[in-house]
Amino acid sequence: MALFDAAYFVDDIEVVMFRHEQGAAHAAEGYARVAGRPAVVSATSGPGATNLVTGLTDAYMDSVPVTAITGQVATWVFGRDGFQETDILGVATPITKWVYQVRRPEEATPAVRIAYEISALGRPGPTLVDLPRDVQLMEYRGEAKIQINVSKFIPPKPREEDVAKAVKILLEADRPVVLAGGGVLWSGATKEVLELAEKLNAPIVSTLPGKAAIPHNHPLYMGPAGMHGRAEADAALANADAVIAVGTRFSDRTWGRFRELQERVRSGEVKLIHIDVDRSEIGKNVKPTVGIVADARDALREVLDLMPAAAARSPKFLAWLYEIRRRYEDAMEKAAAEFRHFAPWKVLKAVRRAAPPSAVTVTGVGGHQMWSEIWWEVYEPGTFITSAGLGTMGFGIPASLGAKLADRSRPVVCIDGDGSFQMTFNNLALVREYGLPFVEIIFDNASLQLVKQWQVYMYGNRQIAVRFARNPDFLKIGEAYGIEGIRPSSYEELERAVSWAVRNDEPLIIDVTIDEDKDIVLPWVKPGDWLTQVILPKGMEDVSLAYEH
Amino acid sequence: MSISIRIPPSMDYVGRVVSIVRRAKVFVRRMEIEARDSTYHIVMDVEGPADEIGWLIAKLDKLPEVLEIGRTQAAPAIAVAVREGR
Ligand SMILES: Cc1ncc(C[n+]2csc(CCOP(=O)(O)OP(=O)(O)O)c2C)c(N)n1
Ligand SMILES: [Mg+2]
Repeated sequence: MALFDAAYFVDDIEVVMFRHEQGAAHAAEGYARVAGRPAVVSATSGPGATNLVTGLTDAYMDSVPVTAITGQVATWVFGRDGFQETDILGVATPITKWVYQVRRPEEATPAVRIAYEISALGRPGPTLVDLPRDVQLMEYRGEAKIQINVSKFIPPKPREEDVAKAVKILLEADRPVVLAGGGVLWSGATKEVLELAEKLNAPIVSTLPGKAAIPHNHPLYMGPAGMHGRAEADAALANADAVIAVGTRFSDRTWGRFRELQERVRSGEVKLIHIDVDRSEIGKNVKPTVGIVADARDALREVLDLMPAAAARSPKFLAWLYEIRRRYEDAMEKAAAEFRHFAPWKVLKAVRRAAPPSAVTVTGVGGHQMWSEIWWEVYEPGTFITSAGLGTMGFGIPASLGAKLADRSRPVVCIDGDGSFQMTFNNLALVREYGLPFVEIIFDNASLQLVKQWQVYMYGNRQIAVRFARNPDFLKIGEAYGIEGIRPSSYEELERAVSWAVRNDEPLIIDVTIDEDKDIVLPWVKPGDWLTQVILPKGMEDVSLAYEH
Repeated sequence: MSISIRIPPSMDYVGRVVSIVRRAKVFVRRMEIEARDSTYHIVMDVEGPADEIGWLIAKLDKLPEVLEIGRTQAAPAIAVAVREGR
């Protein structure tokens, strides 16, 4: 209360009041990803603070800079279970880069400053400052020194001998592959990734967060690999003899499992170069041939500077990958004909046609997100925002609001699920209140599709607790918040609707009916499977992702 | 393996250190905290695969409140003596 009362007297703090603290936290994430700097999210003690937890964890998993300030009961009540007392420090300990409880007023300013700075320094992440009530009410008494070591977040220069080794590996490889993670985006290394791939004539593959870093119209980009990646990307990664992995934490979602990779790297069959700003990531899941602790762009620059024009490589591998792509797209075109209503990937294509390249796309979590991973085309770096590491349903709407707050000149499109929508739609109230229009596209499959898919394939098709027997009328929800809505009946109508909203900077809810029974996201590498064990759609039975060379 | 850490004297930070140790696949044989020169000195003897201990140290070193971290193969008592001599 006292903190907000003080904000009353400060002109240059813009307070945006969300309807739920989780929404505020996701909005701070959306803001940070578009603005490239942290937003501050603030909540009251107890339930307000605990409602932030999902958002902070999400930011932690996806390395997003967010600073939280929480209220706290007075210090003399600590441990006595006072009204709305929660040990938020204890709760936030494993999900933050730094937490601090201010016990003396002179710590308040440095604590907030440090929290803000640290969240964006090196590998970004969330920080939290807890402000007890009595401290908030005390007189300002100058600034105390808070002892902490931030120098460790300043990325070291890459070691010359490691860079030289990496260059040698890449030049000697027959099938080098560049794997781009989310770190490429934070470091601003898109240009360097493209340059390296072009020099090597090597395919680029990304993780799900790394998808946002690579323009998809680049001919060498194969798409994201992994559980719901593109088949050609899975094939590239699984058959590479050298991988340069940049700014990625080797998630099981990208690799399926690590055994094959680890064995091949150990035997020397595959050479793995891992560049990451976070030392603890090197060798965490897979021990690389060469590990480089450095900022992604710095390291790639040095690799490029040391690399002569690469020797010509046989185009066979790339041609094979393109052929897999063609086969997949053909198979999906045929599959679309079987949908009575909308086919998810065709929806994405129609929306993409209507949204300008600079439009920011945000997703919910579920099948619709996986379809977006596979089919959404990113043209400008940083324009695809998704909850990758935590996979937080309900991320879409508040993150869209945050993205719009960060840059009102850009259209924002949210690809959402009907389940995800229902988790955080209360924040739609801000659309009219703060003038934050965005296009909310609901993939209305009356189900928790992605969970259902697991039940179909992994639990003998025993479907339980995945179907919405009764969904609310999403358009009426929109109406209640003063947002127009439409339930299109054709791809053309859908495309026109998105165009209209984007052109006029108007909010719009689009309820897209998806055939629930046909909505199975493929390709799919089941959890714990290796990339080549991918399940491909009908019509690709003769396609193997194992390269014959 | 003995890991020695120096942090500002706050149990909040001790909790952060412990929360990382909890998730390492190591067995903690001993853990001591002593307040000295206005910082907490933590010494812990851990047993486990070298990779896992490496992971633990790298994770601990990510905490901004970890002012110093070191490891030593030496017996814990010697480790303490060496550190104190520093
Ligand atoms: C907060 C939260 N609860 C549960 C889950 C587990 N989960 C993952 S996807 C999914 C279904 C999502 O449903 P919907 O938003 O309708 O998307 P769809 O899969 O139908 O496209 C669920 C329940 C989750 N990721 N997040
Ligand atoms: Mg759904």
